Amino acid sequence: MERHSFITISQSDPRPLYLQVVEQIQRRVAVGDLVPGAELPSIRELASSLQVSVITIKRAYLELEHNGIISTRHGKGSVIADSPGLQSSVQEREFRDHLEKAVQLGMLLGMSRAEIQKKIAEAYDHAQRGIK
Amino acid sequence: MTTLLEASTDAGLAARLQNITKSYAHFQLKKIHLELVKGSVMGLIGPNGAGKSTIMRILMGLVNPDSGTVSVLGTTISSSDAAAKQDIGYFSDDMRLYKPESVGWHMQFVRSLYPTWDDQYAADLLRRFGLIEHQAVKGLSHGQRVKAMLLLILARRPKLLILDEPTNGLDPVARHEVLGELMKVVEDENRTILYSSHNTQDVEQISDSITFIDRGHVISAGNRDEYLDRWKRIRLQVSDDWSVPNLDGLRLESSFRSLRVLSMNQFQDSTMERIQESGATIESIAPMTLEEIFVSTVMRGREEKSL
Amino acid sequence: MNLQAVKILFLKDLFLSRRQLFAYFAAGLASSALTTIPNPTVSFVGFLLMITVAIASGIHLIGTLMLSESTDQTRLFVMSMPISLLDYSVGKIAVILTTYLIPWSAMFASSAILTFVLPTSKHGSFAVLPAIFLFLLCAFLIQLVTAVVSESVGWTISVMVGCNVGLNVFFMQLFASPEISAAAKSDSVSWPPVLIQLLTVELLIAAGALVTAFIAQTRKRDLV
Repeated sequence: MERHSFITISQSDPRPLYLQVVEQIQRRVAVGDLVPGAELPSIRELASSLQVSVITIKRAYLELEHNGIISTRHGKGSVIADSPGLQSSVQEREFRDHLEKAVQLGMLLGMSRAEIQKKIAEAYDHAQRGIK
Repeated sequence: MTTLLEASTDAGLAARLQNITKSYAHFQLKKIHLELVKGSVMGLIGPNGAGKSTIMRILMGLVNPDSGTVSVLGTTISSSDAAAKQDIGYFSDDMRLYKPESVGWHMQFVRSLYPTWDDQYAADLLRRFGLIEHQAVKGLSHGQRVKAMLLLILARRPKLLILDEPTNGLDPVARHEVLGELMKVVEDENRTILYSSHNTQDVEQISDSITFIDRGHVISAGNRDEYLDRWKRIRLQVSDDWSVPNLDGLRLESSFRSLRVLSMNQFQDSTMERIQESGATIESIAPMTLEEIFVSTVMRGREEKSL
Repeated sequence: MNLQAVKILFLKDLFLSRRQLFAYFAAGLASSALTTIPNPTVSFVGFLLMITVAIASGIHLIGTLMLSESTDQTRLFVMSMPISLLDYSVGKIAVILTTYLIPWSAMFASSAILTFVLPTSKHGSFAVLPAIFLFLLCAFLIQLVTAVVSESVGWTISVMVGCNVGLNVFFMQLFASPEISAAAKSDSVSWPPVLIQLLTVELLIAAGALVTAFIAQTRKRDLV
C-alpha cells in the first residue's frame, strides 16, 4: 500500500500536519522502531506518499533536526541521528512536551505555580492508584 | 518560516504575474501580482467569480491582459506565442474532450503534439486511474473524465501544471487518486503546480503557499504554514467594561454575555500577554482551519473597503 | 504558424467528420443521379436536392466542426495545447473547406458530365454551372468566415439565412439575363461577357472572405 506507512496523518487532528509528522517520528524513535542510522525517506517522497505539501515535511524535518533526532546530510537525505541515548532522550522529550502543554493550559486557566505543582502531584497519585 | 520557500531570484520562479489588469463588462482583475516558486504547490482560493480562472487563463496565454507582464518558465507569455504552452499543462473544469471518441484516441492526438509524451507513464496512469483505453468519452463518469484529462496532461510531463478546480465534484476515492498523482509530480523539484479550488481542505493539505482572491484582487498571499501559525481563534471571558485591546489584526467576531470570541491574524507570543493585560481571562486559543481563515480574510477585506 | 500543428488539427477534424463526409458524398452523388432520369419533375427534384445537399452540408460542417467546439467546450482543450489562434483558424478553415469541397466537387463534376452525356441536355447549359456552384461556395465561405470570426451561433445563422435568400435572388437574376439564357439554351458552350464578370466577382468574394478571416484572426487577443 503506502510507501511510508509508519506515519499516518489526520486532517481531523487539530495539531498542524508538520507536528503530527514530528511526533510520530519521535514516537517511532522512542519505542525503538527507528534506530540511529536508519534512513528516512526524502522530503519530496514522504510528502508525495502522505499527500501533504513539501513544506510540511520540510518543516517537520527541520524541527526534528533542531531537536537532534535526525541529521541531514546535504544531497544524501536524512537519517536518525547517531547520538548515544537518543531513545531515552526522545522519550524524555515526549514527556516534557506533554507536561509543558498541561502547564500552559493551567496557566491559561489562571492557576499559580503552586496550584499546578499540586495538580501534578495529585495526577501522580491518581495514576499510581490506577496501576495498583 | 519564510526560509522554507526561497525564491529571491527569477531563476527560482516558475511563473510571475506583474501588475496584471483585465476588464470585462461586469468584472475586473486589478493589479494582480503573483509569484510561483519552482518546485512548490500554490493553492489559489477564492469565491466563485473572484477571478481565479481568469488569472489561470492569463498565465496560459489563453487570455491577454489589458496591461502588465506575464512570464512563465522564463519566457514572456502572449496569446500569439503557442510554443510557451509546450511545457505547461492546463486543466479546467470547463474543458471537455470529444464525446464520440475514445480515451485512447485522445491519447494519440495529444501525443502527436508533444515530443515529451511518455508512453510508459501514460500506460501506468491509465491503469492507476482505472480507465479503459477504448472506452468512448461520452460513457465516462465525471470522475473518470477528470482523470482522463489529467492523464492527457500528466503524460506529457509538463514543468508547470495549471489546474483550475481539478478536484471539483470528485468522490473521495477519485480525489485521493488525483491528489496522489499531483504530489508525485512535485517529487521532482523542478516541477511546479498552481491550482485553484474552493475545497480549502485540499489546498490546506497539499499547498506550500496560498493566494486568496476576492472580487478581482489578491487579498492575501503567503506561505501556508505562516497562515496557520499567524491565525488563531481566541475565546475570552471578560467583565462588562472590557474593550478589545488595540492590537493589529485582532478582531471581535462574536460575543455572548461574558464570552468574547476574537480572531487574530498576527498571532505571536506577546499577543497572549497583551490580552491578559487588558483584564480578560483566556479560555482557549485554537488554530483556525484554512477555510475559517479564508472566510475571515474575505470579510475583513470587504469591511475595509466599505469603510 | 506551425504547419505541423495545423496538419494534426486538420487530420483530427477530418477524422471527426468522417461519417458526415461519407453521408454528404453519397447524398450528393444520389441527387445528381436523380437529375439524369428523363422525367422533368424527377430531374428537377434531383437538382433541388443537390442544391439542398450543398447548403445543408455547409451548415452542418460549420456547426459540428466549428461552432460546437465552443458550445461543447472542446475548444478550451485544444487551445490549452501548443497551438496558436492562427494555427487553429487555418486548420479549421482548411478542414471545413475540404470536407465541403468533396461533395461539392462530386456534384459539380457529375452535373458537368451529365450536361454532355445526356441526350436531352443542351451542351451550352454547362456554362452556367460554374456560376451556380461558385455562388454556393461563396455563400458557404461567407458563413464559414462569419462562424470563425464571430464564434457566435446567432451571427452565423443570420448570415446563413441571408445567403439562402440571396441564392433565390441569384437564380432569378441569372435566368433573367437574356445573354445567359441564350448561352444556356445553345447547343455549344459559349461564355458571354456578363457570365465572365459574374465568375470574376464570385472568385473575388471567395478570396476576400478568406483574407478577412485571416486578418481578423491575427488581430484577436483572447483565445477562448
